[in-house]
Amino acid sequence: MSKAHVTLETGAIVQPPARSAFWMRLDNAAKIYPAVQNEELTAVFRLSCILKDRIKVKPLLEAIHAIEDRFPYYKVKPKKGFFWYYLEFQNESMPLRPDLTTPCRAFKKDDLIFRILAKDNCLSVEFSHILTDGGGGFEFLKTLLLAYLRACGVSLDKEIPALKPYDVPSVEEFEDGFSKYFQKNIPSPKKKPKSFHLPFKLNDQPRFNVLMATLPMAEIYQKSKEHHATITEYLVAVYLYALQTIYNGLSNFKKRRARKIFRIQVPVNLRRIYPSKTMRNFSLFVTPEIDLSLGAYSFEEIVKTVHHLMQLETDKKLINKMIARNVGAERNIWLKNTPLFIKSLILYLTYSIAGTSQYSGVITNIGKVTFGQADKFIDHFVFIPPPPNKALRVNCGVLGFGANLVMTFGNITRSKELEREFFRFLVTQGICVKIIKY
Amino acid sequence: MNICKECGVELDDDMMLCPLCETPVLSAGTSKDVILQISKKEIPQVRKKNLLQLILWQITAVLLLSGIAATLIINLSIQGSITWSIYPMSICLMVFSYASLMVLWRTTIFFQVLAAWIISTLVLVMVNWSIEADWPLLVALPILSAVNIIGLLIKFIVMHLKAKGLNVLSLIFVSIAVLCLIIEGIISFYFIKVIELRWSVIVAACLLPVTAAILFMYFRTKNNTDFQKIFHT
Repeated sequence: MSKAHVTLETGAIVQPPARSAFWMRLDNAAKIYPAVQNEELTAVFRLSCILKDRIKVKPLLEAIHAIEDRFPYYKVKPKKGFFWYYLEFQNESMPLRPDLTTPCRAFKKDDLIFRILAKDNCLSVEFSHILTDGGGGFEFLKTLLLAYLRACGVSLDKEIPALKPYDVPSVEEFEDGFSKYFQKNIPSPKKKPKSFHLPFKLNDQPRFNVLMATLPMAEIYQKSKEHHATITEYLVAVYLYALQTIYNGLSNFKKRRARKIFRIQVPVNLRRIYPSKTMRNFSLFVTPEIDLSLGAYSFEEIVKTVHHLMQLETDKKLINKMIARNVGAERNIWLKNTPLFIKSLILYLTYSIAGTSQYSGVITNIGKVTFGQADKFIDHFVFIPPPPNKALRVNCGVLGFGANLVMTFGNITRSKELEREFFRFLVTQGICVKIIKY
Repeated sequence: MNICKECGVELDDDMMLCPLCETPVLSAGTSKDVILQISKKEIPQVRKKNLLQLILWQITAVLLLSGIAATLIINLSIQGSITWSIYPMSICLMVFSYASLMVLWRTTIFFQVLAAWIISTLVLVMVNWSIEADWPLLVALPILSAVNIIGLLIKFIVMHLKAKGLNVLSLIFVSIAVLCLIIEGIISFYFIKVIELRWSVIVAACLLPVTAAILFMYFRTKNNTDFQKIFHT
């Protein structure tokens, strides 16, 4: 590849090949995180692959070496500019660490903002949301895993759809999808009222803990079909039903004080809607909801509502509205010309006051993944969402592989009531739930 | 085949340390002396630094304490009582308290300075009482406090600087300018009950262009800085 500079839509200049210096603007979704993240609210998510055999260190080091130059847009550190943070390339080796402590820990100030972790059979990657979302992170894990299996001497005859370790990264992989698909003069979506939040007491620091369970894919698929819903819609409905059960258990005083709208944030991978190859953040949220001020909902009513709202909100035109709102705010003449230290303060206060006030919970479904021939070496995958904030308190990640679906609840409270209600309901539906150790 | 007892990963036979957590591998071929040697490789450097600090403190202590003793003996043998020697003695005591706390008390710089400031304040109170004048408390103490605060601020800023070079020098110049303004303000307030700044303004006016020039050189030479990335909107 020539050494000519490549100018991206974002204005950043990229100089392939991978080892030369470059910088990038933060994408639209990433802009909030440097201002709000801390030791507890780390904005770090984890993707793990639990292999059937113990991890061998030497092939793993070879695999990391093989993909060293494949993902230059992840070998960056956030730096302070005068108006915005930016990401600057650092020619450092990819960090491989032993997986010995709490998942989703914050990154130190001078570290790259992703890490590869290994322990026993478990190979994990952790990414700061400043870099990418679950979609980008999973592509990285896929390439690493295939490079590892090859280094272990596994011959994979058929081509598995993943980025190749020795390919030159394309300019599209660097791009900010939000800016690319932003359309001017589109009205913003209406602001939604605040929603119910779990009333549980927070844990002592470090707060974040994880509960994991496996569910048979066939059973959950069957149940979803019975309700004419997708698996995601079905799980969102169960989440809302569990929240409603918790609400019903509150004292009359607390019920009167609590907000009656129950809304779940469900991330949508925009790469499935727009033809983007970006490896950076490119997801937005749909927000199915129920309003208990209209009366109690049966489970069937919740599934029906969630199904229709999700079908409606994933419409491309409505997604365009959301992109227009988010990117429009970033391009606001007053905001963009405000010095960073004031901007960070504004973003921090905005997030603290209103950040997640509109949502009662989050379910991120990475989807069902397959590695073709390589499936026989893998036991299961796990997705751990970033630690929730003090308002949200609990969130949930879902990833399907083989015959099972792995659900992970991230929780910063002393209560496991939501998880209990969630799994109890599934058991009453005849779905076998098995809590697993991570 | 070896397995790391910390990470649980499988290691090659020729690996003496786990590349992930650096835990020594306990296999038949590894002697205990080798493991001890590997696991303690960082310790000598820390010890060497502490030892050097201790030697410097001992030298400082000998110089200051002998200075106190010498001035006290001379003063007593000539005047028969403690008069002028109170000043060098109190200065030596204050410097000794700062040096001792910095070297011997293993805590954060903030607490070290705070403790030294408290001791120095007690020394000034004693001086104030023995010479029956109010300037130690009304002039010396505020100046000492200002020096401490500015010193701590410099330390804090330097700690958080990613690149340390000419920018530290410019920071010191700015601090000197601010300190001069504060010192003149305190002295003028003590004597004429009004803050009137004269010489310190000239000092500050001279130092600021020098600081600006140093900062300009710093930013021009720092990693061939791309201004677009810093100032993009």
